[in-house]
Amino acid sequence: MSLKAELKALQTRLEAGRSPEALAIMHRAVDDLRKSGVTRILRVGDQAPDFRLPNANEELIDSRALRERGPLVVTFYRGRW
Amino acid sequence: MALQAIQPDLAALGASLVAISPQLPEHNRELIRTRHLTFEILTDRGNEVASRFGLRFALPDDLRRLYLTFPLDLEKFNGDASWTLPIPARFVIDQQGVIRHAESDPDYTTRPEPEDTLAALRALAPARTA
Repeated sequence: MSLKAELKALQTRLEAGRSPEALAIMHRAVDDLRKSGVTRILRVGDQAPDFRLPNANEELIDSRALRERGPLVVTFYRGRW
Repeated sequence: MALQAIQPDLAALGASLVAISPQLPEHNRELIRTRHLTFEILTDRGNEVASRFGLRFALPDDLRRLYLTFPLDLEKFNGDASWTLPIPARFVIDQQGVIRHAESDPDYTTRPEPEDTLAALRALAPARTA
């Protein structure tokens, strides 16, 4: 499944069967976020903060150790729900 | 997760990939098992790291009440009471820790395409020492 198809499925799952009122709340939250919160996100040229976070087996992963070996791709997502 | 499909390309470019969400490690174990993921998925309790990247936001009260009716109890799912989430985003960070590519969109249905990430990494590659 392509990313777009996957996202469509995700959106359908989260939004399936919701009332128009519910969908309005969900979509308004995205719109408000777009208007308010996007200016303080780190940009190209900024120093990325290093971090240590637990993986699925609760072992701490150190971003600095990873990036010193090569480029590091960091993806933030909301969760699997 | 479509990111799994580009794992071989990432490895060939000498790059690592980590995915970060606030959900508890038990949910990440489930993801790895059912989707056969080979990259690290990390738990950012309370979205503290997301906050340092400028991505953390608090859910508005109406959305929070709505999620509870689904039922989606983020407090239970994430193991923290903050009712915060990260804005979906992707960064490419070089060996000195400098951000070389950044994408984000509050609408999670328009997450970055993996191909864009690969293109950013390829642009970096000539600058890397062998």
